[in-house]
Amino acid sequence: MGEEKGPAMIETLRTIFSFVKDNPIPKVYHKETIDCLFTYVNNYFNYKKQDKKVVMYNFCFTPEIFYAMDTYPLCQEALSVGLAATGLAMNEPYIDVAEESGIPKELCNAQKPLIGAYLKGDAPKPDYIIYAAQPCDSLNIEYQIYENLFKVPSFPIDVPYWHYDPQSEFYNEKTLPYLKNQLENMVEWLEKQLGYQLDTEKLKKVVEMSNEAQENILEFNELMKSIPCPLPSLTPFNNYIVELTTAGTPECVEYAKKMRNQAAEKVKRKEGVIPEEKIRAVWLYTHVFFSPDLFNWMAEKFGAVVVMDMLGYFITKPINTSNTDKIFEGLAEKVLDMPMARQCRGPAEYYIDDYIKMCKEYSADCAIFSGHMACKHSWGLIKLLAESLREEVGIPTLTFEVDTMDSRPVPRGVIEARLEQFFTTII
Amino acid sequence: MKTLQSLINVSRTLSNSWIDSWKTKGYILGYFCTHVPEEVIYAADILPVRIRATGCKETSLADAFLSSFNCSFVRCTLEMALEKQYPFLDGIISCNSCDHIRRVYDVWKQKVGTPFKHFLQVPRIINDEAIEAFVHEITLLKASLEKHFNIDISEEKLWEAIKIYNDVRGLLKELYNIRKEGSPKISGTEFMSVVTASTAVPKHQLKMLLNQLLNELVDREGYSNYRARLLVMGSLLDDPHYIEMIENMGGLVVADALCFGSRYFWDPVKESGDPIHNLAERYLKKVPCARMIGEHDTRLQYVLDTIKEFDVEGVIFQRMKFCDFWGGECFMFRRELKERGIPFLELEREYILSGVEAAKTRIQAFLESIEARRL
Repeated sequence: MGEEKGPAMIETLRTIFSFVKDNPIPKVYHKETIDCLFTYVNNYFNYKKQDKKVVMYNFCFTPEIFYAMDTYPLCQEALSVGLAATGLAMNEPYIDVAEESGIPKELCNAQKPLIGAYLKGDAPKPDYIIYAAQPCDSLNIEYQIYENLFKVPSFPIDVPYWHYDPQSEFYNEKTLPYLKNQLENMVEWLEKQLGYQLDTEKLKKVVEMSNEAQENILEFNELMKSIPCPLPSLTPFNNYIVELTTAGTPECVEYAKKMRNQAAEKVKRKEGVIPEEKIRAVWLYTHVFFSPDLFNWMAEKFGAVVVMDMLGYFITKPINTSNTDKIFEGLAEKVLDMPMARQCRGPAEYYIDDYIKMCKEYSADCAIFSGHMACKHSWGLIKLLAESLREEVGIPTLTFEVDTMDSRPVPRGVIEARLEQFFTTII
Repeated sequence: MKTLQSLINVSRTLSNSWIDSWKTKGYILGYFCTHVPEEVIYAADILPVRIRATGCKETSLADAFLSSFNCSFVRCTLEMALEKQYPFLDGIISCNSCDHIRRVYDVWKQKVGTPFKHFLQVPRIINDEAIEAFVHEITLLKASLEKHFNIDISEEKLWEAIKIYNDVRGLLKELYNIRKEGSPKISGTEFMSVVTASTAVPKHQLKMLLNQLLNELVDREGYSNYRARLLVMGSLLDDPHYIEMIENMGGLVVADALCFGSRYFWDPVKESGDPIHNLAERYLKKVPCARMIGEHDTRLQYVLDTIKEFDVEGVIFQRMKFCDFWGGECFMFRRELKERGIPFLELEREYILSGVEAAKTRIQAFLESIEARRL
């Protein structure tokens, strides 16, 4: 490309996205998603060229403030998920290096590859690390390991356990102010690091763009309730990864509109994503990232469609942008409601209630829990959840273990066998 | 050593004569973590007892609700609860210590018929806003106890509880400091038994027992026939047999950074001002558990200071399988202690003592490597 090379981990992603952009594999990777992700990754190099600072953040946070402060928001998990989703076992060498250096096997492989990449000299070095301490212990400690290794200024955010909604039985009046206050402190901290102040007008514009994308995603999620399901099973997750990395940018708005429109047209034509929809499944957890065409296999072999999943289930309403105070309050709500964080950060009821609602609203015939081995919090409640889905929705749940980032512990063949047994039983 | 033996006995069972005696006149609450401010419970004339699963042999009942990816401590406690091994408990108080503990509470709440249940949100950072948020949580805990047990927790009672707890902390620290001596009069196994027992005996009686113990130790001959002075740190460890296994190999555990050890009693609560604020401050600012984010350097400094003060020659870092926080800390500690030339041994373990022979082999090799350094 004739461009300056970056750290191997991110350079690899740019090369892959660029290749897939020019050589589409439409059944596996959606063009719109790849276009967006290519722009996002490529912008890392553009920002670096302009000497702009890189802020690394975690997947249970949202990037609007970083865009508004003219920094590059590097979502760490976009790297590991991106590498896994190539289906080429690209995280595995990094995982091995990290474990050989003493990182326990049971820590999450969504964060571990960066440690291995750092030790190999392949990791992008952020200028700052900001992380919201959710949804799990593993993420919390691995971000502290990043701090320890990279030795760059860091700002952890303590995300409350309790709910901010007065209607919730778990409501606590301190939840929202506590988090909002931390976001304000974070901006103050970042201003000191950067040597310039947040332009609140710019923040307003960024959040308005984020709102526009969010409105389209919310509409999209409504459209996915249609029978037959209009778009492929991977689309809600694609929406998530685009939102996670680019919320607040024109690319994200454009993307969300396209997805919403595609879904709306197909619903209008009563056209499903597959010829005969036999099984509507809600995917109770993260996808099997290392196997991006698993859903195609399910669709082709069993007529099974995943109508919604944990990461695609955005529920946050657009943020009130009437003043800066409201914007911070809205961003705090958004952080509390980030997919996966929303379900996992608090009592089991957050998780169970969301899925009962989701399974009912999306007319699910079954639920599938591809339990990522490192997610101890979810493994601690899956039996309660399966019991609730059986009793309150009347649907069965398939539970199987997998390392969604590493193809070795539970390979694709084993997963197919589990799914096959399950689908054969329920059809 | 009558007092020492009676405390050792307490550490080896779930219930004890003090619990039995208390139960005839009052309520008892179990709590899961050292971030729960026991003083509030004690001020309500309720006995707080830290939840252990001492004596657990297997987890078949618990495994119906938790998974093999959950740590064996929570599976064992749930097992004991489902087996009704905590008949003395009138309630439980848990907190967001870690993912395992918050999920065992979720299951316990639904599947175990304990009358009183309360969950405390403990902030994971230390600053003024976090302390204020924790004040609010402690106030909610106080109100919840008052409502359920139909009692009033007065400020006077809170001060009284703070005072007695501080007295006990001071005595435990005095006992702990005895281990600085070249020939400590108390072994690591005995000390851990005392601290473990301290979480299951009313503090007024405990104060008396600790004073007796300190007197009994005056004339005791110290332990001098050991191969190396060790510090043990890492995940929750409430089993003195584990320390005994190390000491039987010839190591003497002279210090620790454990929540059933020095981290339980290290920092007192301020005795003037607002009692709830002081409790919030103490329980957040105490020597931090690995759950407290951004506090690794404080933990490291605590261990380095202890190594110096107690003339420690090697560190054993035991981590329970699936304990993420201490697993990650172990990675950092290994690098940092090795950089400083401090011998370091990592041992993975389960709550139920197992894999003893393999652990013994590694401890043996570790002790030999420390001895070789002296040559």
